[in-house]
Amino acid sequence: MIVPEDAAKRLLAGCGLIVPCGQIAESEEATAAITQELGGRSVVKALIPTGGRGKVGAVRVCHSADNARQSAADLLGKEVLGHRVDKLLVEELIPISNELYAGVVVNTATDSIDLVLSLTGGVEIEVAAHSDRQVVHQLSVEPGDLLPLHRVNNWLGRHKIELSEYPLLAGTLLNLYRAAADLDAILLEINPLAMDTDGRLVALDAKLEVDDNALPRHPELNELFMASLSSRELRARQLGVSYVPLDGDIAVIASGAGLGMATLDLLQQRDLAPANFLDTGGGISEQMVKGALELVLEPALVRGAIINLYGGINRMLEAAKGISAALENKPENRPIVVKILGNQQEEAWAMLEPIPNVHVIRVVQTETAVDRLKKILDPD
Amino acid sequence: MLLNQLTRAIVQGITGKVGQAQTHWMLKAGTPLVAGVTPGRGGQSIEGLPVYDTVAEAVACHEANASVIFVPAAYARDAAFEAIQAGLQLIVIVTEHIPVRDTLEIKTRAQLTGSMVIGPNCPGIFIPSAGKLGIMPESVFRKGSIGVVGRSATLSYEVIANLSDAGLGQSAGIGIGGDPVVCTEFAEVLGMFENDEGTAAVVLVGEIGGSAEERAAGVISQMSKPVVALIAGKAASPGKRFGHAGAIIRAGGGSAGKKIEMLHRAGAAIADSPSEIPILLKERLADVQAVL
Repeated sequence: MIVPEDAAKRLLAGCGLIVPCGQIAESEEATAAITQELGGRSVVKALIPTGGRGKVGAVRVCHSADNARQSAADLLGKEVLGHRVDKLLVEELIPISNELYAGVVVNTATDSIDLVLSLTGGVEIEVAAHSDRQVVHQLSVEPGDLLPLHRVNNWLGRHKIELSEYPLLAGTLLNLYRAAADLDAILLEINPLAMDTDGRLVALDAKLEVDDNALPRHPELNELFMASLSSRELRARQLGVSYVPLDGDIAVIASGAGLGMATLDLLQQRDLAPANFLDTGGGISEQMVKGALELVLEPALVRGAIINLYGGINRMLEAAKGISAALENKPENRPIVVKILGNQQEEAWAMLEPIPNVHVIRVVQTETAVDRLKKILDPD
Repeated sequence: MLLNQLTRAIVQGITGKVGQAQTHWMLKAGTPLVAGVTPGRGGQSIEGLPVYDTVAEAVACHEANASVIFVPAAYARDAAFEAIQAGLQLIVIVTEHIPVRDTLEIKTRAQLTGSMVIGPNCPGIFIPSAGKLGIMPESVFRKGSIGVVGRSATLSYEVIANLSDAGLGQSAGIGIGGDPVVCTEFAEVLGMFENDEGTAAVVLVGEIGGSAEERAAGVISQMSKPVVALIAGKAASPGKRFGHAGAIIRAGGGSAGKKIEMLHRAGAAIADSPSEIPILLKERLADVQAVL
C-alpha cells in the first residue's frame, strides 16, 4: 500500500522525525484559511500517490493567502501525472539552507535492507543517481539487524560526508531506518530531507510504501488501506480474490497469477484484450466463484469471458456450482469459455455443459480455450 | 534428488485444515512423512502420524531431517526459525502472504546454517515415485526425465500437464514461489538438475518482475542439458500487480522482453505458450541424441 503523504508524515513524526505542520484542504477557501493560520505563507501540494510533483508545478510555494487560494484553484479537480487532485496538503513554509535525499529500501536483488543517502537532494536526485554514482551512498544492512548508531557513524565517516550537523544526520538516518522496520516499509523515501535555517533536519516529503502482507500486524493502517481501494477492489477483497482492472473487453478469471498471466499472453497473441484479471488463489468456494464471475462480467463493455482453473488445492465442483449459480441468477448472452482441470473435473464439466453460452474445454491446453473464444467472438 | 530413502519429513501446522488435508495427499503420493508439529497439540494423531509440540521433539523421536510448513503467515517466520534451529536440511514453506522482511530474515538465517529452504508462497516439490513436500497435484505428473522449475504454481501445473499429455514424463517438479524474495532461486535448482542423473532436460517457468530469471541465465549458459523457458506476463502493463507479489514490473527491469532476451542469449529455447514447450523439448532432446 502506498501511504498518502500526510498520513506518512504523521507516522514518521511518531518515530522521532521532524515534519512540517500541515493540514488537508479540499477547497480554495480552506487552503487560504490554513495559509492564514500558518502566518500567511505556505507550501501547497497536490495529494496524489506519485513522485515528480515538483517538476510539473504540483508543489507551490505561496507567500500570501490569496496566492494559496489561486494555487488551490489551479490544482483542485485537475489531472496531474495521471491522478485526479481532490485534496491538497497545506504546510508551513520551512526556510531551507540545504537539501538532502534519504531513503530505506528492501533490496530484493541483494536480499538486504539498504539505507540510501545523497547530499544532493531535491527534484534532480534521479538524474544525479544515474549520471554520477559518487553522489549516492548506500549502506546495506543484513535483514533482522537492528543497525547500531556507531555503524551509521562509521559509514558516514567512511564516505567523508562533511556536514556540520554530523551527529544530527546520523541520528535522523537511524530513526528513518527504524521507522521503515517498524512500519514494514518496502520503501521509505524522504526527498528532500531539508536542513532548515535553524539547523534542524526536516522531512519535507515522505514516500512510504508498506508491505501489503504485513498489514495484519498494523491495525493502525487498516482504515487507510480500506480507503485506498476502489469499490470493485474492495468487493474482490471481501471475496478473498485479487482483481486487476485492465483496458480491453474480455473478462479473465484464473486460479493463480502465473496461469492468469499466461492466459492474458495467449489472448494478446490472438488480438483479444483483457478487460480485467481476477485471481482466485487457492481458496475456491461456490460463493467466491459466483461473486468473482459477477464482478468480472459487470463492466458493460465486456463481450466474453474465459475461466481457467486448476484443482490442486481447489475443489472444482465448488467452482462449477459457483458459475452455475451466478448464471442462474442472471443468464448471460455473452460467451463464457471454461477450462477446468483437476480434482472433480468430470463432475464440474457435467454440471456446466448444459448451461447456455457456457463452452466447456476438456483438454489441458489453454490455447484451445482462447481459440474457442476467438472463434465465437470474431468468426472471421 | 531432494527426496530419497533417507528423507524423514515432518509437517508443521499439521492440525490446520490445509495441513491436514495435504498430509493425506502427501502420504498417498508415498512421501516419507514421520510426524507432525503444532504447538499445544502434542499427543494427538493426524492421518496416523504422531503430533508433537515442537520440532525438536519430532527430531529427537524420529530423526526428522525435512519439513513442510503450512502454518499461517503470522507465525511462519517463527516456524521456519524453529526448523532451521533444529537442524533440518530441507524446509518447504507453502504459506502465502508472508511479509517480505520476514522472508529475508528466514533466508539469511538458512544461509548461515546451510538449511535448504524452498518458498515461501510455493507449491513445493514433487518427485514422481518418491513423493512430495507441498501441494502439487499428483494427477498431472508422469514419471520421466524432464525437470520442471517454476515460480507460479498453477502455470507450472499447466506446463507439467502439457508435458505429460505429450508423453514427456518428469524427474521432478519444483515450485520456488511467486514472492519477490524466495529462499531458493532458479539458479540453484538449475544447478541441481544439471547434476541429477535422472534429468535429461529442464523446463523453466518464469514470469515478469524481479531478477531471478536474469540470474538463471548465467547458470543456463554453463549447462550441458537443454533448457526450455516460458515467461508469463508479456501482455502485462508496467506498474500493475498481478496477484503474485513478485509479478510486478518496476521501472527499469523485470519485463518479459528483457528476461526472454537474456535467457535466449544464454542458450535456452523460448516457448511462446505452454503447449509449445513439449515441441521445443523434443527438438532439443533429438539434437542431444544426435550428438551422442
